[in-house]
Amino acid sequence: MENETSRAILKLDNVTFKYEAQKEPTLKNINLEVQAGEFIVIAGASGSGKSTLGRLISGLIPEAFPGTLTGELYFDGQRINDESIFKRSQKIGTVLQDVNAQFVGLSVAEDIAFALENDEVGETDMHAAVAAWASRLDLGDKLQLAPQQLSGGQKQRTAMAGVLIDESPVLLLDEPLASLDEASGQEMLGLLERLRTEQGITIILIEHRLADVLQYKIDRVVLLDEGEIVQDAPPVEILQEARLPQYGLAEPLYVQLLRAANIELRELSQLTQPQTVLGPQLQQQIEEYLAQLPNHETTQITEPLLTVTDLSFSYDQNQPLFDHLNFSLRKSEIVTLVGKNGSGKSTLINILTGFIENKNVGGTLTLAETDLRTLSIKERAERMGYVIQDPNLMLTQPTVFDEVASGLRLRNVSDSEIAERVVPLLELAGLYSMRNWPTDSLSYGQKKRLSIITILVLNPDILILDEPTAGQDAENANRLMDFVRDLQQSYGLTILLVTHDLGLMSYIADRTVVLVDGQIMADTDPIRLLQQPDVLTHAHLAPTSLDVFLTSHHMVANQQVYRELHKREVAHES
Amino acid sequence: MEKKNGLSTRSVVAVGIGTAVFIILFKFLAIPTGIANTQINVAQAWLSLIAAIFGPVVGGLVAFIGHALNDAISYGSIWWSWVIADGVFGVLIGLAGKYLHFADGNFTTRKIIGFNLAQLVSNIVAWLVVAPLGDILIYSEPAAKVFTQGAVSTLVNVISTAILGTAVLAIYNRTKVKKNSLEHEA
Amino acid sequence: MNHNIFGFHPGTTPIHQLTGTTKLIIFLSLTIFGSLSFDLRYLLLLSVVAIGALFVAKIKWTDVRVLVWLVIVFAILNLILIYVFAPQYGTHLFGSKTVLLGSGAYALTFEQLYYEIIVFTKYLFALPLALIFLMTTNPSEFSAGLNKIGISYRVAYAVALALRYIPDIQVEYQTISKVQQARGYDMSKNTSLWHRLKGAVGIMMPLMFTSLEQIDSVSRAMDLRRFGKRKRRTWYYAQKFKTLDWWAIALTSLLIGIELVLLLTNGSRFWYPFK
Repeated sequence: MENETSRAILKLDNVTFKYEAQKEPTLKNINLEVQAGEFIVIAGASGSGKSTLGRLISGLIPEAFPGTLTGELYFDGQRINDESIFKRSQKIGTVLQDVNAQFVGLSVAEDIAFALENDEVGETDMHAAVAAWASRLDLGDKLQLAPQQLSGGQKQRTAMAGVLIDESPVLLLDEPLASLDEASGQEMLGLLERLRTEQGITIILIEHRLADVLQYKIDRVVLLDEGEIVQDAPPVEILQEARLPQYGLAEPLYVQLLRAANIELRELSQLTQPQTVLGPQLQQQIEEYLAQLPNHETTQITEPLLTVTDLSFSYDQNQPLFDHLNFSLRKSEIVTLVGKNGSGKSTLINILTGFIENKNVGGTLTLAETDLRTLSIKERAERMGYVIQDPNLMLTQPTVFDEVASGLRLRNVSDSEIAERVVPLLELAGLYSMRNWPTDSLSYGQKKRLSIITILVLNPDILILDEPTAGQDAENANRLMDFVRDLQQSYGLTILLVTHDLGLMSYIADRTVVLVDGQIMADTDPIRLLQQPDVLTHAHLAPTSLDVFLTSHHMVANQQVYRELHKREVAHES
Repeated sequence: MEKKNGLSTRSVVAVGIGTAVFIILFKFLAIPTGIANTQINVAQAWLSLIAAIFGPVVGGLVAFIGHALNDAISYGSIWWSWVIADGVFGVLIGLAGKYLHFADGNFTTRKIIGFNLAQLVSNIVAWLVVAPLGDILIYSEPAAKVFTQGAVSTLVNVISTAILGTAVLAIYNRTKVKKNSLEHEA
Repeated sequence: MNHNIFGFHPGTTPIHQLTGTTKLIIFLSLTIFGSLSFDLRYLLLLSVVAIGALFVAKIKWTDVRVLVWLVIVFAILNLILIYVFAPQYGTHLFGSKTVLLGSGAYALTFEQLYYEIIVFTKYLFALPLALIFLMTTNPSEFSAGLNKIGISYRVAYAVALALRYIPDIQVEYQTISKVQQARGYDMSKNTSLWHRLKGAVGIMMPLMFTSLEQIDSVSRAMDLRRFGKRKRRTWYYAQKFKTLDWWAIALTSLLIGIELVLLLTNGSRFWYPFK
């Protein structure tokens, strides 16, 4: 710490908490001290208790979530166990995970002002404070905009301004990266660093996407597992001691590479910085490792399955989104579609699936010699299945089995055939033993797999997945993608993946298409894309940490490294 | 803790989001019955659920605000007598729910009957009494016309609430089943 | 994306410059008093004022065309319904019977025609008033206005939340509906009523669960920013009354005054000079 006398602004002394409805405590004997001006990260896999710890710190426990609390909480030396949410919120500003729920105003200005309105602050002071915080968070020219007109990053910054306006000394953020793409996530973390330095704010970040976080100026990482703190140490130690994989969290890709190459992490300096990490014979050892990897398998080129020629489309007559766009998918390949939000990725898919009506669409769409435009939404779905990002919007049936059977029932398939087609898919997805459960009782990851097989049951040739790994921890994301891979291999599926995650792209894709402002900027193999930094910047994509590491150490990645590291990670989990 | 006056924050939010859903269903999910100008309003089923969960005040406000905003947006003028009638329906269903607990996770046959009796009475009071009387008092419309319109709406709303309202409540209650009562099957 | 269901168009006309509170007061008081009056002279006066204001506010025909036609069709339908169910209602109201055309129960009388013209003029002033209110009022000012005219801030904020979340829920609704169609639900007119009902429940399910979940998360977020802590709250978009606002309120009071005088001199809500 820079301060000579650091003082504990927040202290948890032997805290145990049990939710009213549960038998076992979710948090056990938590001892935690946060110094004023610190930037700490609370991390853990799903179910580790990190969200509960966040609720405890924000004051939502016990008021909004009743239960039994033992132990003591102190803020700046004062006991705060029985404090109301209102009082706590003036000491610790909290930004919740769901940014759409956090953003309650009709415009940026109103949302930033919300807390002051509730405190009856007068108009002049309120307008001045809103203007000041909006400019600090680069929102000065966005004050009049509605939430629907903002990007994820802008919404997140509005939410932060809306709690920072209280001038509370501590800022607590619950999984702020969940709703952001990698590039916006990096911008936000940079902003947090700046806030800490410029405003002296203490920052507590709850997050499982640690790989993206560790290269920032973080003082400590507090690791939670099964409701207990299992480690409380600076990022370097966490990496050196290989704590992350031990507790179901992903390590940064370049650290995985260092480990795979059997490099002793303790001998390296600047371990948290992929650009500048240094060590004796580092480069030599990595090169040796890369050289012994099996050669890149050449994927055989198959015949085209889906062809889009001369596509034109516009929402607004003056501004065409697509103007003579050409795009194709070949049989059995995995293609990733990447690009910043608003580039037309969703529009392209909505045109393919028929969600956008034909009348404004120009050009030809051909799927294995059939003109797609002659088919209805329902008929297209039988050949090309689309799994949207949020599984909660797809589940409409009372039980898991009914959910999968639904598409077949609506096509008048006989009950015996339905059973024949549904049961193997349920088994493949690991949901067979839960077939009679209400869909609402499944975990997020299970719902995600369920939503995929409800689409797959119609036997499409092409499967389109929108952001399949968004909002899931490493273990769940890996499990899901391996499930998708298995499906691809056993059914010979063609898969189109929409994603921001270039790490995912690098190990899974045969080909990648970059869409920016309605135009295809690149159509190449994933590794080549990583070597085109100008394209990445244009598409608002963040290079992988592995690529950053290799480039700055004068080496070049191949797809085999990504596949090998993925394989190692999965092997470690199981 | 500070003393909290009036509606709780959760009720305020239930009114806000409840109203938003009500309006979207009103605008987009009205099912024509085949009889001219008579539609099955899925929005009324949503209203029954919200009133059953959050009580008469939230139910009444969702119906009143939702109906008024929808009139303003879709027809350019607010037909107050029907807006008030819808509000009355929301309050009545909410009151019935308060005593008969339609949304406590245990939707027995008795409760299904109770819910349907309650919705029958509430619909009659709202559309066959309040709405036509309002039309006569506020708009001085002929009784024969407004009571016929009232009778048609009562019938449609009773039938649609009986089917959709009961279905939605049943689904809601089923998912309130405690998760630890679920078992894996071979 | 339609994030603005009121169809608010920013502008600089005098009507745009009025505060949301002023416009809300004018809109509510004139629609309520207008619906109480059955004096044709008064209703025509209101219509002239309202239509005149439509021009002052520079509202474009292309922006309102669809709604205007819809309301005209709706109004005519209502007039026909009145005639079908109560063809002699005018006679009953005004106590005389002057047959213009035909005979028997459905004979068209002057009194009926006069009554139906009155009903039509009600649309003639109500629609422009609503259009002006919706298209020139920033939705953000609407809730502040509601609170200012005496509605509890909690209810006023509930209205703001409804306006905030309608566009989000519309997107959700459309996504659910398309996904359901891909699964095989046919919501078009050529399927049976039973099928469509089942489809409707299918769409409602996810909407119900996500919205109930949303209610919990939004209220937590609002608790964490102290909504409901005090008896009153201030509004970022509260605007101070300017001279123009007072003039507009004065004009409205004058219009209401005229109505009261007419009510007294007529001795009833109706004015019928043809007896």
